[in-house]
Amino acid sequence: MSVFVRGLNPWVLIFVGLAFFHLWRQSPQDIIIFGGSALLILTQVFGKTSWGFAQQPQIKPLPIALVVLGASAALYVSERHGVVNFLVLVVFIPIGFVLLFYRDSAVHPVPKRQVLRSRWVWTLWAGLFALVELVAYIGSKLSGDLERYPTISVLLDPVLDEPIGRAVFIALWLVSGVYLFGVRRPK
Amino acid sequence: MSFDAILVASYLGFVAVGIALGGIGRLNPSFIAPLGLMLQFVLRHRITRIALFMTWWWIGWHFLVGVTVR
Repeated sequence: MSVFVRGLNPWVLIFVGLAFFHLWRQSPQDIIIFGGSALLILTQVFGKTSWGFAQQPQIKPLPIALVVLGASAALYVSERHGVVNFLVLVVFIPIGFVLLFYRDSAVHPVPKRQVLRSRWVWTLWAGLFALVELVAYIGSKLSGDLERYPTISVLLDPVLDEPIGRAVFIALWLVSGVYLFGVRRPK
Repeated sequence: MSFDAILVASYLGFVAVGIALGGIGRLNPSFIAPLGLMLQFVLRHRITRIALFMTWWWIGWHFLVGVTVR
């Protein structure tokens, strides 16, 4: 049991926890998204989906740029919460899985101390950020006062209803996706 | 200072700290590794790849498609 816990990827607990959190929030879309993701992650833990590409597909810059520009244009000109936005986001799911569902290498090089330090620092940053947001969310739920306890969604909603705000968000979100998943990062 | 101002300042503070951490990683990689290098390390695990992708995707979904449950 202790070996299992030691080797457990923390994302497993985070996603299972988020699935239950959204169940408590009674947010059907988020229950499906995080519940489905948690189930997929659990299949990984128990070795049920070990298949996949031998290595990450290498995509040339032009197709990446075309997808990013096409998605940006579609998301920007279409109505927020509309059908086009829904379709663009749904199309990203298979793209993401093609890019990221490759098999893990059997041997993992030992990371340098600086890499481990960076991981801890960024984990702490993300954890505290999420904690502050959770405090705001619980405060707003208990008091019913969204002005005193504004969550990020409450603050960003009016910004995203403005064309410039939506353009900045879409650009940052898509660029961060390309950066995060290292589609062009040297191995 | 009201509580809502503290929360907004905290959010902005985290954004500023994130930008600073990115800068420190680039300018002083012997202290903390740059974000790209750290991601290269953590993304070796498929569970982390799935989790980070779904987190990123959900942010887009939450703000562009879904309607927030208050």
